[in-house]
Amino acid sequence: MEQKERVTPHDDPDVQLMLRFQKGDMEAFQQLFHKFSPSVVNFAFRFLGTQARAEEIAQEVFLQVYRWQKRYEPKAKFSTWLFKIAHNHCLNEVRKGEYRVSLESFDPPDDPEGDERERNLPDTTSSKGEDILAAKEAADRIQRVLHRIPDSQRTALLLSRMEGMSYQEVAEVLGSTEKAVKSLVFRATQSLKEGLRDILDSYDL
Amino acid sequence: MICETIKPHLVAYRDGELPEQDRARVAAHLSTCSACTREEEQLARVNQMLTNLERVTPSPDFAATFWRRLEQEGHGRQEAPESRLARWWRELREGLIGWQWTPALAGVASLLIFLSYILSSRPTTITTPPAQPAAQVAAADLPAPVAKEPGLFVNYKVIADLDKLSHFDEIAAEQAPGEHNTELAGEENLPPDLVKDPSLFVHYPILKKMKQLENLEAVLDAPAEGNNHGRG
Repeated sequence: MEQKERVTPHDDPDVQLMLRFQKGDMEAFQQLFHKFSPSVVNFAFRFLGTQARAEEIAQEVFLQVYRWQKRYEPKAKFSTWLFKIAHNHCLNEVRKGEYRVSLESFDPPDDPEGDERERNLPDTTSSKGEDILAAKEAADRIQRVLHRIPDSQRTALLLSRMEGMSYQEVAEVLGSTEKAVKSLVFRATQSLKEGLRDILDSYDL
Repeated sequence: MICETIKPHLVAYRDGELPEQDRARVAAHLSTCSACTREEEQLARVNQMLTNLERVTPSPDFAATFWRRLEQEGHGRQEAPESRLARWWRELREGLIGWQWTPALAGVASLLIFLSYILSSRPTTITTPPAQPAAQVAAADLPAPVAKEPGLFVNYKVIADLDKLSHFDEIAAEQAPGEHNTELAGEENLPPDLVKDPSLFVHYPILKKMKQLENLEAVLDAPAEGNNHGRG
């Protein structure tokens, strides 16, 4: 297996953008927003389960980046700092207690073409239609498992899989160690494997 | 048995996050164990499914809403960069939290202790009882602390005048203009401004005391004759 390359903060072009923004370059902030806001929305959506709330959280994250521009120090990659803020916002949201996602009432991503797609339900008699249904079933299962596992496991898994972060970067986001992250990722993957067992077994047939 | 020790490393192995020694150990085991190989393949498939999960895209008005919120919060789209002074002050405040400032703080604390010692020893020099007429002392309605500590006599007259200053408006209102004019005019050479404007006579005694107050340090530092010999 290939070893992951480690990048120093000053080699990170996003750090350079943030430093430019710190000196008053608003265009640099706009670039960071356009580059990272979809990822933050996606992370918050996978963490919380509703797109409307995920978008609000993502906006709050970038408002905080704006407010904290003066105190930013390039100690790590920009994305690490950004997702640390995003993770904290998501945790606060979950801990408020007002907001709980029911596994039964999972809110799928807002999709403007969804209604149209529903009218054109896949033909399950074709192999393509079966594939689409199977992918949707797997996605729903994954989301349900994600909401069942502990917050730290969920964050570790989402950041390493969907954002491509190394264990070291995930550890920086969580304020943890690489060893702990290794364990979190393993346990989260095991939980997913259990939740998807029948789907996985069908691959082996 | 070895399978149980290898399994927890399988995900990190696939992720390329194992140290070289562990990576080689897992690879060697996988080459001989079909059960662990199957487990590793399933875990890899789970990861693949997660990675391929459809990414949520922000709604069309997401960015516009964000910039509107930024404006509403009172942040201009163009904010002036932090000034050198503001940056210095922020870094100082942030630096104070860190331990690197501890020696400097200890130095400042020592200096403050030293200065407080110097200032606390000063009254013994300046509170030497002055040669005041007994009649004047007796006439004054002295507060208890002054009566107990004769060293405070030297300051008492000035302090009493300071008290008058705090009631300046009331005193000025009570005293009719010219009340003290004849008395003062007969005793002193008045400044030309007072001669021109007799209404200033009301304030003149207090202004005179204020002049004395300006020289207070010099008065207090002047050695009281025959009373300073005891100090080093």
